[in-house]
Amino acid sequence: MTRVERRGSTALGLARRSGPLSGRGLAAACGAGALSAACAIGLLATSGWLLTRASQRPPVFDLAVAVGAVQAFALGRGIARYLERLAVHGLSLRTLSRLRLWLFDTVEPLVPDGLAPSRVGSERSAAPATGSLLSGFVADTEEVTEALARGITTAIDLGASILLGAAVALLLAPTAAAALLAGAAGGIALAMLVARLGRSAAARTSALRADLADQVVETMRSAPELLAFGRADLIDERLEQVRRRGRTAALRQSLVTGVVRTLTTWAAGAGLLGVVLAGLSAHRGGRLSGIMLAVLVLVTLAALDQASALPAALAGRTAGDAAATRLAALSALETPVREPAVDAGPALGPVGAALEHVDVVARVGPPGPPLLSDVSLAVRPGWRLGLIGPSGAGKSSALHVLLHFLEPSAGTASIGGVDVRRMTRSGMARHLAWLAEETHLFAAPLGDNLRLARPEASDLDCVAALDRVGLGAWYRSLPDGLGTGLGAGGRAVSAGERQRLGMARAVLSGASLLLLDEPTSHLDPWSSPQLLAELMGAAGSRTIVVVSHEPGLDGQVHEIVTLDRGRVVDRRPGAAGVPGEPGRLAPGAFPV
Amino acid sequence: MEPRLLGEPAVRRSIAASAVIGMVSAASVVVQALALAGLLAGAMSRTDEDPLPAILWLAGAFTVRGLCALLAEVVAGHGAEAAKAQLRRRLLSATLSQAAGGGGMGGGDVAALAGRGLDALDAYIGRCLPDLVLAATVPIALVVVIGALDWPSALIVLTVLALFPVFGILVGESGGRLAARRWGQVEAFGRQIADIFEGLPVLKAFGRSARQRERIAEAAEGLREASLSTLRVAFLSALVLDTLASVSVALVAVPLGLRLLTGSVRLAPALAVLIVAPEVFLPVRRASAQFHESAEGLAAARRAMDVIRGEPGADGRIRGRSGVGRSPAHGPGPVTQPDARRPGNPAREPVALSEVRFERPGRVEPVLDGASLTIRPGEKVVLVGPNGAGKSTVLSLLLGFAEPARGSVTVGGVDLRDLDVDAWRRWISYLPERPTLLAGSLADNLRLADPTAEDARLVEVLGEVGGAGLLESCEGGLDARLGEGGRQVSAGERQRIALARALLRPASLHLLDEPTAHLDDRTEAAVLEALRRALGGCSALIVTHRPAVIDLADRVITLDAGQFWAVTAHRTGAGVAAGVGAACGAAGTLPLPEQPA
Repeated sequence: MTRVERRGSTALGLARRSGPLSGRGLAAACGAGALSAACAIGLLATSGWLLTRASQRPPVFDLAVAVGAVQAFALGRGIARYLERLAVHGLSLRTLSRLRLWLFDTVEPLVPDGLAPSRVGSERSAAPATGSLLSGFVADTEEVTEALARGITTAIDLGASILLGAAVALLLAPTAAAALLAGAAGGIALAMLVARLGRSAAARTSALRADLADQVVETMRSAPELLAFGRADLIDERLEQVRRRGRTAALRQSLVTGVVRTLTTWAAGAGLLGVVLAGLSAHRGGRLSGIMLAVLVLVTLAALDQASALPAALAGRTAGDAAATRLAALSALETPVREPAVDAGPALGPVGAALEHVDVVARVGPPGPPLLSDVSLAVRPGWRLGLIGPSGAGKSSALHVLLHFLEPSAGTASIGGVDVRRMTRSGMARHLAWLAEETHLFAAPLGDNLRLARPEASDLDCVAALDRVGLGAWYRSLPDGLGTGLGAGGRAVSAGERQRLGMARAVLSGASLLLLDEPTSHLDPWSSPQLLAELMGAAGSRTIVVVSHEPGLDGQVHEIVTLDRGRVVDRRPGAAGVPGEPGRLAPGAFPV
Repeated sequence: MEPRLLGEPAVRRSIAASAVIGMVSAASVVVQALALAGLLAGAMSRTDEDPLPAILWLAGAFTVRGLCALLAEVVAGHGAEAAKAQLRRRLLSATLSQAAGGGGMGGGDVAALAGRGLDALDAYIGRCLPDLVLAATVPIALVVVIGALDWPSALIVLTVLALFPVFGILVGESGGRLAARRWGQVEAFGRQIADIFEGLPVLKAFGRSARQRERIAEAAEGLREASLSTLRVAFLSALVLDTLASVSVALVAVPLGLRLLTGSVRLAPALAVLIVAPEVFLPVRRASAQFHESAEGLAAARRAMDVIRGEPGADGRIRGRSGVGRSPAHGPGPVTQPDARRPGNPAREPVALSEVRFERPGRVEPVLDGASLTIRPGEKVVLVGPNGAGKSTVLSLLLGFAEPARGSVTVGGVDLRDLDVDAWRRWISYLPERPTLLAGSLADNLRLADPTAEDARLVEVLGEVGGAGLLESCEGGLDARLGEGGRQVSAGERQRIALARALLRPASLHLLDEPTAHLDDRTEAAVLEALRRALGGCSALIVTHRPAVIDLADRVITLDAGQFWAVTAHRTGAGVAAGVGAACGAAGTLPLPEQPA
């Protein structure tokens, strides 16, 4: 475990890793914050002076300046705070932009096999899909910047008002200044100490909460069965257990936050009390007039007022730091594969693919058995290979080795006879296309979603690809043609249309080798065999490696390999005709 | 504010306690102000008054305030937890109805809401709601205090306080519309970024990820600019509140000063008013600052209350007669109906749905509409059809988890509503679509169905469903712990255990939802053989997608447009499967059945 992971990372630390904070933005925030603090202190100080001086019944003219100042401070304070907020958020938004680029640069080499799913192998929750894992990290960047904004604001406000208050106090009564500083420093130190001590409790609490949430979900899901078996008592028992443990967790967490709040309140009180006592003794000693005593006390009151924001900021810091730690852990992850600088891939044209004695060990997540051991597969150009086996057998891993998402610890993976390690990502994409379980459609027009596979494709090419995958009629029913928006916020597509679109991408890409990873598993069992047949048909004479559970797979492929626990346990021929031998090719089975 | 949430006693108690603590805290602020004002005024008048009592009052006020802070946190934490426990129980009965209704918000979603979804309520119930209450009460109380000290100042403060909502509405209206428009833009940029990240594996496979870095940079920059201009507007309301609060201090201080000149007011109350005045506005500002947190909590509360009061009442009431969901805070104790009758044995009496209508809120078409089906004694009926047609609903109705809005479910001609539902369920063995295993041993899980079963019987049943290998691979055999902290179970193994559990139950009506899901062909054949033997003379309703299961059927039916239809078919399972497959395929056209089942 690296140092970073063990110690955790702070929001500020992570933000600075993505680039320095803007000095100008910080200066603007500090300036506006100081102005706001000065106005708040000035408002109470001049008001106090106004009242005490007025009680001596001076000529009204003596009060004119104070009256004006009171009004100016009152108006200035809100405006200064507004400016401060804008400056701080400008700063944090800039950080957010940079943090996202940093995240992209960090995560891109890891995707998809270098990322550790958070709860692998858990009975209750399946490992999250890479997509949701990634959007989780995107949310983390927001959490970090929010914590940063709150932290900076609190630090500026608290620092500026304490320092300004102490400066005023120093002019009036030095011992009072010392009392104010001591109270403030003591309060901050105690609050931070308790927050730090409470951090492990907070971590335990949040783990417990996640656990309880899982338990509730499980109980809810099991309820129909338990009721049917006449065991409602078990449901009640489990919910009661959740309630008891949840109460303990809540108590623990609220105690930490509560103690922080109590300590800051008490420290502020002690500071005020110290200032009052110091001021009174100065007053008795004749070193401080009654008016100035009032000013001193009110200044202190205004300065310590900011302390009330401290507990919330500290609580926010915990969440921000947790997000920062998750993100920082990403940069400690090992990149699963290394790409060459220059592509040495095969010439364009039909290619086959092969795995030779490939071993793959899991590098992320808890240690477990190897993903693949001594797996050898080969598919000749134009042939089709089916991979079957129970879940977790290593079928997807085999595809990922061919995609060079995973690096074998022994053996080689090759495309068109060339080791995949000698091919760049874009070089490989000319030969190979991948259709995943669920095709991700970007929130972009249909045309853009297709051209992702080949940017220079013309509209005609796109339409031809859509026709090829059986989406011709669908396409012609679209109001905006290739300009129709898809993905989040766009036109809804069915699971079948989604997979056809993925296939259209693959067809358009010009790749001669297609890797299909359970392309129909999200479909209704009644319609999926049909779709698989159509997808395979659309692939024409391309080489295919397909992972699927469909009963009709036999007739679609030339060979079926069964994997179990990372090993090849069975090989048998499929029922598809031999490509290139017209006599045995079923008519229309392989449109060219 | 979600008014329905206040219907929960735990929420009401928590808010009331928080409000009391808040008032005590506000009172200590008043004490602090009076003590300070007395001290300062004493210093001005040079009376040699002993400052000690005032200092003790001051210290006391701070002590109380600090303790109030601690107490408020604890009460908030507890209140939220108690409220969540109550809501969880009520969501549980909703889960049953949702599972029954199918479609809409599935049972799984309700379960997720009851789990992590309710955690958003912590801040809402613990902080936002009490703050709202305090914002409505503390300012008034403090104005009364100010009035007692100096009534003209109280008038000024009251006027400014009255301006709060006016300005708030003005800023909120214009700002709200502006912000909403810009917020849409911000969200669009945010979605774009998340979208690119989510699709990263695809981009990488097509060798396009490098180009996306630029798109991320552009979107991030766009997001920054859009957010900043949104915030400029959003912060305006905070600006108004801040300014009103500080201007009120000036508005109080200046007239007080001038009146002090004329001697119409004394210094001590004037100073006390000055110190208390800003505190009047604090609760309002705090409540408005929690807007975002409250929005999230409010959304969670709304969803929970929508589900709980999801009015299955109109078209099907939950019948957790075993007491779940009935007694919110405490354990159940079976609720027996005084007039409940013993149900007949479904192996000897027909079980029927007659003219049943069942609706789900949020779904236009009823799940069932005039649906009739009779399962004759000993008959095995197989129900096929596309997902979401309401097949699981039928099982829920038969189990008595839900009641039909119209029509009836009868056993031997007696309405299920008039029967003792616990006794009825004793006749039934049930395998749900997504069976669950409880944390515990393999034997515990199996004995849920029949607590009296001997070990040998458990082993035998496991063997019948192809689970012998499972038993061998379990360290400790039947006593092996499953799930968390124990042996991990695959989907196929889970199915076999659940299946063994269903077969173990000495029942005369078997309700099986997808009995051979997650099983390979070889195991399926073995399981079907075991099923055939186990079902013997019992009645059964089996929901399935698998052609092989149809071989068990005396009769195959499907569900379409809210009614049951006979699938008249060739006696071979494969043939029936092909026919039904075509019927329920992508085209969605059903051949007109010859007669309703």
